[in-house]
Amino acid sequence: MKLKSIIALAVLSFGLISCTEKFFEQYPSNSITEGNFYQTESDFNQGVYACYAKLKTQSGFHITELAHRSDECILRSMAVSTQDRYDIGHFAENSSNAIMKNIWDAWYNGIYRCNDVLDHMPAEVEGKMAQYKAEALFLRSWWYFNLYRCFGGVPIATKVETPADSKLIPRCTEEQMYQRLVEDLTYAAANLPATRSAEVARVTTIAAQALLGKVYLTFGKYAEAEAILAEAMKDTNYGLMTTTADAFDIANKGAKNKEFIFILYYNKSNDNGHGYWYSASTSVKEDIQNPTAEFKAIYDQAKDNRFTLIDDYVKISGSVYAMKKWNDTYDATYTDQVGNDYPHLRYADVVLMYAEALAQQGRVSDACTYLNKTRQRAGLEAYTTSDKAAFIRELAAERGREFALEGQRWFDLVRLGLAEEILGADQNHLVFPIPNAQIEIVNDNSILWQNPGF
Amino acid sequence: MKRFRFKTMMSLFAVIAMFATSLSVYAQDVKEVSAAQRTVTGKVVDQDGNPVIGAMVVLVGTTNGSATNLDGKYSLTFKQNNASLELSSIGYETVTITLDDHQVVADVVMPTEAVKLDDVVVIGYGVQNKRDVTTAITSIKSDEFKSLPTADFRDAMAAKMPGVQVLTLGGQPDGNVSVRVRGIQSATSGNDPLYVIDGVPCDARAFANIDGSDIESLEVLKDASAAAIYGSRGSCGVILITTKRGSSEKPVVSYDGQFSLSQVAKKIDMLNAYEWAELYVEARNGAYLKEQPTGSIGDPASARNSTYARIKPQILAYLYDETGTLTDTDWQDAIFRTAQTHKHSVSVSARTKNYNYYVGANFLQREGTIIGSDFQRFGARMNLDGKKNRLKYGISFSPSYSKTNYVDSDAQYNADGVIAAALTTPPVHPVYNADGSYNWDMMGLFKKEDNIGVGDTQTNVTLNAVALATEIDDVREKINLIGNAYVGIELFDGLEYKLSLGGDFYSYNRNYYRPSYIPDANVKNLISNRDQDKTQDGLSSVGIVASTPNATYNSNQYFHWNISNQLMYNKKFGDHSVNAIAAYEAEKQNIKTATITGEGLAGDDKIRTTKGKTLSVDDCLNNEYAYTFASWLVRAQYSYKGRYMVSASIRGDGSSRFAPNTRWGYFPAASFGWRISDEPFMKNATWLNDMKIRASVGQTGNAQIGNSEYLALYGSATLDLGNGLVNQVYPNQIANNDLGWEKNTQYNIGVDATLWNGLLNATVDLYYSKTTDMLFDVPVSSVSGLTSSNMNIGSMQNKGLELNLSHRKQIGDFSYELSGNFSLNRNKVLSLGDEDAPIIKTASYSGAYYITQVGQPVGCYYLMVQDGVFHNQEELETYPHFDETLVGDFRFVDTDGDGILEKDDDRQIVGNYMPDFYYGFGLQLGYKGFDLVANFQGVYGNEILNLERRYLCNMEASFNMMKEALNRFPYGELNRATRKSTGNNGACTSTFHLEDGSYLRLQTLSLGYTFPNRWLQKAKVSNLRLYLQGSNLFTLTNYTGYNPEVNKRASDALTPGEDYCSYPVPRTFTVGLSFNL
Repeated sequence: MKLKSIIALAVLSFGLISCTEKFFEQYPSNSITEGNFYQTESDFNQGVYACYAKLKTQSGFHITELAHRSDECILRSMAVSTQDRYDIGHFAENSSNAIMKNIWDAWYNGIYRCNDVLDHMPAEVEGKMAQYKAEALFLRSWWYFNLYRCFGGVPIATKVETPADSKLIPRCTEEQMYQRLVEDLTYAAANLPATRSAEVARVTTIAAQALLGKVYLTFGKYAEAEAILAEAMKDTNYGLMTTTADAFDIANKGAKNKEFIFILYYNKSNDNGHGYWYSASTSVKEDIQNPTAEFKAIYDQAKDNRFTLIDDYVKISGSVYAMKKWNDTYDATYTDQVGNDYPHLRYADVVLMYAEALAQQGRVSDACTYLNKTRQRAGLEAYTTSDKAAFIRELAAERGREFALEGQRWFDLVRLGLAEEILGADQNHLVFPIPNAQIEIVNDNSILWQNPGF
Repeated sequence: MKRFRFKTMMSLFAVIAMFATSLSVYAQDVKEVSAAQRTVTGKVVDQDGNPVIGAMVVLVGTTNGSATNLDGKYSLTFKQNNASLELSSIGYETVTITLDDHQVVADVVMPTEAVKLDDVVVIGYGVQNKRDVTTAITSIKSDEFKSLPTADFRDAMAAKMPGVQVLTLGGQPDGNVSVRVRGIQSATSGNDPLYVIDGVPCDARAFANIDGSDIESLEVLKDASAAAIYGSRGSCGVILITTKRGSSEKPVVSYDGQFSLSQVAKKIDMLNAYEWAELYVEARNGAYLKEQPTGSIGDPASARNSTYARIKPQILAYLYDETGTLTDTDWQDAIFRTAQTHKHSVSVSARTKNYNYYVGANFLQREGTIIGSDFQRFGARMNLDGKKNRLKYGISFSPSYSKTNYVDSDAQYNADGVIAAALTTPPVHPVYNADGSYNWDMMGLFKKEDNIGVGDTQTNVTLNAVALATEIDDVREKINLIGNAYVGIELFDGLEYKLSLGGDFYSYNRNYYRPSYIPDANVKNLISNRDQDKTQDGLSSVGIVASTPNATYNSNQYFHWNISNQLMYNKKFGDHSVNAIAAYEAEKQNIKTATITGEGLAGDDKIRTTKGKTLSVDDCLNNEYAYTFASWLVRAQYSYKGRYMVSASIRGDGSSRFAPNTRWGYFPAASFGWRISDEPFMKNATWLNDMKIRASVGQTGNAQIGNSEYLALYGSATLDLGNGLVNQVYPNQIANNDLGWEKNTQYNIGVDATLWNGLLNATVDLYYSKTTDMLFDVPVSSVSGLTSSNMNIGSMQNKGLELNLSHRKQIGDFSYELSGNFSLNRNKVLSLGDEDAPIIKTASYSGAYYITQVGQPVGCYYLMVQDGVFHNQEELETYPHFDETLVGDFRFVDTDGDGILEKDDDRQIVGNYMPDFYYGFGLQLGYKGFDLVANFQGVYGNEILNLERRYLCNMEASFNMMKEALNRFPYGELNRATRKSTGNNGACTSTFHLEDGSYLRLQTLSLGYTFPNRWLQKAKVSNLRLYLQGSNLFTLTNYTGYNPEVNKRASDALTPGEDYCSYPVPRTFTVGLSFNL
């Protein structure tokens, strides 16, 4: 071999290994990575699916724990396995409560999923992409709103943050939270589709409007709430079912249900069902402790047709009795699964929130009109008053009856200022403690501080 | 000058190592005086008349030269008058002879050098004269690999290298070896050293098939300064393997063959059937009396409420039997055997003026000491080097194939583990039925209720170990092709450029089949006569329910390539010598994997593959991934008179495993050596022949992490939003652009000395190393979306002492050598991130814990301390105990002294798998043709978590137990026998399960005889050697398990040292023969 050819070979080989950056980009074929995801519209759709999927993580907090926090349910005695729930129910939770830690982790994971979708979106989007963006913003708002309702101001990440940077985001102010939610939900309301697709669990315009209405009410912006809820009620795709029982009848699951606005969708026939909620192991009423007698007392048990929803049970098998509100039969294949959907927002809520917005602005008799829509549907006589305080009290009870075991009552009573009086909660316990593990990780009281009293 | 150049060129180019100074000869246009061409031949012998092999014979004033062959003969052709020849060889004095102008025969005597000083070691990217080495390097030569009877050549390193701990984790026929250099350098990343074969870095897999007979030398770069030349992969040490090259002018055919017989070196002392029956009865009575304090042990089964308190009549029969003829199976004997090994290697090699070659082939057939296990390997190697003018080139190729019939020795009794099944199955069960079929009574015949209502529902179910070992197919095949090629050119005086390309292809595949006639371990699958007919009086098994057979096929393919450009400069200016290298290289490894898994139908055992099976959707998949490295490095070495030596290097490594921000890591090193014995003021110290002081510092990295740790990754799953299942993709790993290299900084001081003319050689090294930026999965703020993430947090240190001593003497025909080495390493965790929260992990059993905390070594056992038994009620009442504890149960120490015994609060650090020190020593004797070699190795002060004791010593007699169990209360100091254990005797893993792992082992003892060549000349045979060797002949230890080197999770530094069944190590006797043609 000649010297020249050796040199040529050497130069060539230097060249071969000089294309460095590409050389270092190695992606495993069986993993989806940043390098090969978010390429198509369908990729974004799958990312949005993942955001929806996260709604079911720690859904037990809505279904069970919030009912224990309010007066709907109670644990009479404590066991090691239920101590965290017991503490939440008795205003005795401390900052190491595992349930609160789990929802903090799960909700921020949901926010992370939304942020990951949003981070990869082009600045200007339209069509389906705008819908996906709106859905991600809606779901992120849902989690931030719930974080706010549970913990007060929390760190707000609007993009995927590295673990190191996450420690530097301080708890937000009320104003920052309000601005964030209003901005995002306004975008969502404007860009979500008006009508439901076959994927009934995907949110539509009214969901964003309803959630925004709830945000406004929570922050005391009643005129804004009235406006957006009035807008929501113009949506003819949605409305009240004939009775509350109809809304929960499994036969009306899906597209037929014009009352459910934002739900956890379950399908027992493809392994996406759930076990019975609030079932009993006996039909002897005296032996069934939950819902509590105190809670049942807010019903006119003779007249209110909603009472049987939480008081009647259907025998399923030897020791399984399904509560009427969540009654379904087990699937033939997945024999421990049923398929009731769980509503986070429904049309009755829009109507009652509208009543609340009017009443809070002093238009109590107008408010009664809307309050009576659900009262009269339930078989009760019309309620009239011009006393705002009395109305608020009746509204709280009506919401309790209408949304029994739907994870609403605790937040309702706090929002309406009745939690201390009705539930005996002290001022500090209107929010939950920030999980101690998080405070230790951040280890900076000017960034993540504990709520007073914990 | 010419003379010098000749020599330095030699040491530079001859990567081939040992016979380096005799290797390369360069054609040289020398002005020759007109003279007749002649060929001078001769024989070179030492003062004792033994041939000197590989000595350089050079025509003085030229570079024309030759080397002596295995008979000490040489031949040199030239045309020159007034010629003189210079003869040199490592370990011999250089001799110059003057030839008469017509002389054609010149026999020479070369006296051996009093002190064997000069030697060449491979240092990574070059070789270096051992005299000039300034870092901590230890090496062994081809001789050590020659008669090795095992499959893994690394066994030859055991006990011979201070600072290098070679652990035989199990006795599998294909080997199960773990190597640790200077302790544990990382808590969560890998701790395996980097292996480099003939200059090409590779994973451990690449040498899985290398035969020891191909290895010329093996060097271990121990300190960071030496290893830093391998940068990011150097922090756990570097092992350099150099394969053989041709060295003899005449082609030499070498043959080495052996035959070995192996047996397990140790059996665990288990109860026989009569002893087991006694404890079984006692345990049931114990459980009965606990429940029924007013009862008596004579009460019949019908009086006993709990099934587990009832005694099977078959077992009771053992207590009254006087014939001694009832079934008494030694299940260990049933699965162990005397195993045979055949090993053959043959090679042809030669070197001529312009090229040298080595072609070898080897074969190994090794049976395992467990029935059903064996290993077979075929390998070949071809190394060819050549030169032409200023050009040199070489090519190597080494294909191999191996096949293992694997038995699962490490799994538990309920997961087809053969050892566990053999140990736990009660000896009252036979291996075979009378008709020769497998007996399955151990699947719970005693659980089933018989006609008198006796059925102990809590007897454990095991499987027939012999059936597991022989009837489950698990064939693992490996094909390995390693090749490399280089071309080099001397650009001008002292400067050389070299381009080398290396690659290896490795294929691994596995075919696993579990037939339907091995039942699933469940009592439901044992059919008794009473299952079929309730009126049957007795109870015996009549068959089994066939299992669902399953088949798995795995295929993994690796392709790895490496390209390296090197520029070397080598020059001596008077007393100054300079040696420098710059290199730029790249490599890539590509891995493809595939798995097929399926289930068949019962009885469907004819086709023992996945064909026709119902495939499992989740487990049939293929994957492909890769990693890359690109590197540059510079190193300069300078020596003044061989008295002051300085070396400095830096390497930059970039890897696909790290994020763009941290992709490149830089690893500098420097070392200094001072040959104090050459100083004028030491001239009077005649007892001191040579003494060199070395100091070094260097930084290395650890890239043994996953391939995509820094990437944003996504998982996928399905969900239903109202219109059927759809796919969702969710992020589950945040891009971490700061994920960087673990760095290790090491300081080393060493002394090499030769005293009293070689009577004593000593090497001492002291080191301190600190690992920083250790990767830990630490809890992070959930605001990120995740709860934990890998971060460069944490640090730890190692400091240690290594000592190597040897003494060699020749007295007439008798020679001997004594050598010993000693290593001590102390590991300590310095920080574990922001909060320094300790890391607590569980062992294979969730009640056994390890802790890694600041101030302690990594991976300490964290257990309760068992402190005897409660002998009486008074003791029980005056000492903290668990609620359920009774007299005769274990007493545990109330560590926190709060008067309450709690499993979590009363744990403490009770030991570590890391030894206090380890050592090796050896003896070599030679007398005329006889040689005797003995090598010992030992470890002191390590503890082993013998977790299998939770079954084998649980006093419940639902498994077979160790003989030790006879010492139960009140007969001894172990807890009482009861089927219903109270007081956490068994459930609480404690120091009862922890044992001292110290041992001293006679690793090898061999006796050989080399026949005098003059007897064999007629047959053209030389160096005929016959040898007998014993390996692992005895081990002094108190450890009760098979092997005190066991470590179930050798790759996890946080949970080391667990014994939960492993393949016993064999004792092997070998007879071998080697010769040259």
